[in-house]
Amino acid sequence: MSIIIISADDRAAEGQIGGRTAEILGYGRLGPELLQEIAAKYGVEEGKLAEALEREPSLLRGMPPKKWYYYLSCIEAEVLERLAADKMVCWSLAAHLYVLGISHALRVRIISDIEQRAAALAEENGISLQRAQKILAKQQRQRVQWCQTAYGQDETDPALYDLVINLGQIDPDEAAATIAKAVGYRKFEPMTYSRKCLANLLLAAKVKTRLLETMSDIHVQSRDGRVVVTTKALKRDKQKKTLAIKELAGSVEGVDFVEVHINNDIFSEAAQSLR
Amino acid sequence: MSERLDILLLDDEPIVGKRLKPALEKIGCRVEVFENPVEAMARLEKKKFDIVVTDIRMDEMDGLQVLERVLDKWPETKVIMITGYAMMALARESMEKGAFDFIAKPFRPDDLRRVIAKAAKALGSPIDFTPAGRA
Amino acid sequence: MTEFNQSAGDQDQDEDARIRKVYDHMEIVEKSRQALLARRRFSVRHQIYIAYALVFLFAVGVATALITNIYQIKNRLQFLEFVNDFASEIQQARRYEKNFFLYGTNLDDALENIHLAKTIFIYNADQFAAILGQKQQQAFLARISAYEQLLDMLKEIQRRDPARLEDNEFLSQIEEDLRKHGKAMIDSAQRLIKKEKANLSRTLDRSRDIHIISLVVLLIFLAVHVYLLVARIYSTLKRFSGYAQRIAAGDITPIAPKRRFRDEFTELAIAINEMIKEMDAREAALIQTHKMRAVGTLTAGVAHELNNPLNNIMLTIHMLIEDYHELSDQERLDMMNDVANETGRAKNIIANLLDFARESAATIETLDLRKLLEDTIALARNQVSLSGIMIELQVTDNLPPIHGDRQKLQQVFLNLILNAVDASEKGGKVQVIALPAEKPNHVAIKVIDYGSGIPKHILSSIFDPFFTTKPKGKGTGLGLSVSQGIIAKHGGEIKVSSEEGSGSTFTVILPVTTFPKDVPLI
Repeated sequence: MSIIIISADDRAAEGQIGGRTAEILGYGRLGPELLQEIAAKYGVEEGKLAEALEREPSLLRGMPPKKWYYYLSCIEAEVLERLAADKMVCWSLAAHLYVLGISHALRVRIISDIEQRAAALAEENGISLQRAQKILAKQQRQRVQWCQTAYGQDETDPALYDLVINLGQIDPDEAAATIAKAVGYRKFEPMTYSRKCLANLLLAAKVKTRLLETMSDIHVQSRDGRVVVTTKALKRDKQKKTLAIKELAGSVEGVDFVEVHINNDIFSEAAQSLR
Repeated sequence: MSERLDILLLDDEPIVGKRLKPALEKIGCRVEVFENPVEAMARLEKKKFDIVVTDIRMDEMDGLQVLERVLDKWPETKVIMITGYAMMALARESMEKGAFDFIAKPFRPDDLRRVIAKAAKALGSPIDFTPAGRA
Repeated sequence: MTEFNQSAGDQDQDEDARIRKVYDHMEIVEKSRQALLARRRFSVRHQIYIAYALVFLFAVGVATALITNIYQIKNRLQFLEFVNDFASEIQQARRYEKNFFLYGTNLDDALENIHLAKTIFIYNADQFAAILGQKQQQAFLARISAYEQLLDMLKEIQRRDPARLEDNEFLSQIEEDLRKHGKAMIDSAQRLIKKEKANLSRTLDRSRDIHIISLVVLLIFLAVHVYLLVARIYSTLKRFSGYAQRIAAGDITPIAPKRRFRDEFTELAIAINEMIKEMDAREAALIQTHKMRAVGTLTAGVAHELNNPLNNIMLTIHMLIEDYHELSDQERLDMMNDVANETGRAKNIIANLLDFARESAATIETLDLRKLLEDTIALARNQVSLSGIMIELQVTDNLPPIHGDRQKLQQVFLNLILNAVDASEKGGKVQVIALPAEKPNHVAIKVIDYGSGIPKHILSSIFDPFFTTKPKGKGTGLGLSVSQGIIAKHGGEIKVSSEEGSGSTFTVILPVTTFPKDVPLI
């Protein structure tokens, strides 16, 4: 009845455990394969979506921040849409960073022994152990940075999760069984309130995606069809932008009312006045 | 349609009872309203209700205590929690303690009716309820 | 839209007030700077220079006196020698004169001696005159001359008319004259020697006295100067350590001039005032930051609290829409009244919070403690009821009103109450008691919890900035430190007593001020 969100440093482990858990429970699978569907729906490259999920924006690689936020928002909206159907296992789509405050989402963190991973990596690619360790350490640093930039969170903080499983001690199959059992606790059963919370997140993500298509610096909150959009604008563009946002956001299905909060964009303001 | 559902509604806000009583009676329920959890518990000792709707934050006794005591006495009773202080931890605690559902204030009468209908269905005595849709 | 404009206007006013407050304080600091500089400069360096110059001048004076004295001694010794020579010449002359009368020896030797004595006398006439006086000296000279003339006459008679020497009467007449003059001369010489010896001894005594007195004077002068210098430096240092304590305790009124002159410490005072200016700005920012954190904490509670009236409104409106046609006019009116009342309730909940959150200029007003504490408890109510804790307020009747900044004092009490709530266990009780303090003209506000208490070893550091026992991210550790600052500015203090295992009591003691102007501008 619930949803399960799995996060790990090791993408392979995520997929393995996620797939296995879905199998045991008979739940739907939401893994990186979804990106293809999303790419088709929004008319973007699948590779770009995958890159946005792993790397920070960089103009050199043709990934300006504006695009990056848009890609992430597309993924977020689509994932939330599917999670609303319940009985889902989701991994590798950063769901643990944006599915927040949903009582029927079981959040799992898989940790693995970094030494073992380094050894595996070294063997797989025929490189030295030290080099493998360096590669992993760099990846980890990048990942922390990515989380911070994208969602302002530290995904390695165990307090974010309901369950933390150490693959150094528990096998992937055992892990899947543990997760399947834990999700059966009554705590993780959906209820009107938590479904509503998820619906609120979904609507906000949809509106955000619609707006980020053409704008930037958009934050959206929603509650029961009421949407609050916060953004920045120059003083003189305020009214124009408000109208545009109301128009765009209002066109999203399920939106009853749009409220726009505009903060003065002091930096651009300063830059303009210096011109 | 089977016999009427007995509902006990407990909220220390008088207006909640005042408005929800007719709202629930309209869908064929018998409703008793209480503002004081102690009085409500006394009533629950005597009579079995099909559904108990309770606020969580009240002065004399909190809704989670009510939930536990109701289920202790009447395990089949469906308890629906309503609260202005909705938070994930509270929601999970309620579910764990056996709540049937959990609704955050503010809600529309139809939101509660929909949950009541769901509970009625779970109790094996479904009631006829079609939400009026957004007015 | 009008309401929005109005609130924007309020904000502008607040902004103005804030800027005005900053300028006011800058003005105060600038004024004290001018007051500090307006005095005549008399630096410690000046004082030391002057003292050294005085000591040097004194030494020069003493040396001059001593040198003069030594010259005098030398002169006196020389003169004494002359007088001695003079006296012995006269005595010699008299001996020859006696021999002449007894044995008839010649008078040449006596004459020679008396001549020499006369030469010595004339040669040192000035000095003789200085000692004996002009008249005495003339008389003395006259005696010598007379004596010499008598001897000359005798010699003349001996040479030309020795027979007359047989005339006893004539001879004894001359002898008597000679003896009279000789004796007088010798007496005078003796007196002169005696007098001159006394003079010499006086000059020597003076030399000794100059040494002793100059040493004593120097000692006294140095002692007085050292005392003055030390007193000046010490008292100033003491004053400044007082300022430091005062500032540490949170009273940051600028230093005002205390003496009639300015010196090196004035520059220090100006520097401290500058620091105070800086601290003041920072403290204001700190208080505001802390307040906004409290507001953040409260907002969560308030948002939840708001859900109750909102729910009432929502249910009522939906039922009104649903049953509009079936309801009687009276019922409809009743429902609309409910909506109106609940809207008012929601407004009050928000207004209370906004009132507290608004950044306003420091305003000192007369405050009724009961009302202040009731409002504060109302602010915290949601937070408190979430934790399932009872707050009990007891205010002694007829407590005198206090004067202070309502918002800031509310911030202090809110902080103490929230802390007490955090420390209490679920279902516990927090007591807030206002009563006259033991100290006359002061009131005490006690916030008592029955939690686990504060361990002894950290009791002394709970007022330190950034000290917190709350988990990371939960507390800034600034609450008590900021509170202490605010209370200190109101001329009061916060005390804590805690028993491990049975709870803590925080006591705020505030002065009852009869005149608002007694409270320093914050």
